[in-house]
Amino acid sequence: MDIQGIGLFRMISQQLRWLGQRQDVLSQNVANADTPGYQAHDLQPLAFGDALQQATLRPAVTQAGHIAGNAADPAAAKVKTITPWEVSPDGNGVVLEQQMTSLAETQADYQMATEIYRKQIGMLKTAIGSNKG
Amino acid sequence: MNEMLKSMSVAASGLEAQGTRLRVISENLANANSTSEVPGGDPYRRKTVTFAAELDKAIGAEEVKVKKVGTDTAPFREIYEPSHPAADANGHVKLPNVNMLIELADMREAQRSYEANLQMIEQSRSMLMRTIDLLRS
Repeated sequence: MDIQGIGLFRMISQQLRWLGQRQDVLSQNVANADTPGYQAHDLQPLAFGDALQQATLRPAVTQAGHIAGNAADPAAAKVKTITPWEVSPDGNGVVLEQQMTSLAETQADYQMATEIYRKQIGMLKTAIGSNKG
Repeated sequence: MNEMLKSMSVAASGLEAQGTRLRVISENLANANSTSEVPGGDPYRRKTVTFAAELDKAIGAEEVKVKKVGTDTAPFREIYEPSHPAADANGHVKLPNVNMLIELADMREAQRSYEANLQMIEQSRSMLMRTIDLLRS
């Protein structure tokens, strides 16, 4: 069985991937917290509506002349420059407090996504009957 | 490469850069009173560290690196002390252009950034472990 066929699982794995990318962007910000002229970045928010749209059928590219479907690749979240709380005199736009807030947010969301995943798997197991507990 | 491992490697570059900065600060502090060995010569000149973002093509992320360890061009302090071995003909001794207060403030900033990077590694690690824990359920 392909559990990616279940909407919830697909959304969870997309969110996990998005959170992973966000973690990557945030770590770049923090590493460059003292680099002159560096601007802090963040990801565009994950659109769950688009995630569900993936359930519909899309044209596949099987030959060189085919045009691919215009659905966005969920793996490639867009990076944007954020407006920092303040910019230091050397032009650096990374505020550590702001980054730590985003970091905590990412952490909490990641925890929630993995817990939902775990619960959902548990429900599947209950349905299958392998979970006698 | 896994996003979590990527972010850990970026944070590690931050740790290294801040470590270098701390080393330079300690050089400045240690030499805050180092005068010249010859009469009338220049004393220790304060060193500065500049950071730059550098794209690591292997992982496709911007790491930080020490761009240059330069010198501070600010003028030296001068005191009148004719008995000093480094005093010139007029009895003036040049002292290093190191300001303790600036160095200490710099040190605190380096420490703060170092901690932030450590926190980053710690969190990436815990997220990675959380994912691996899914295997156990």
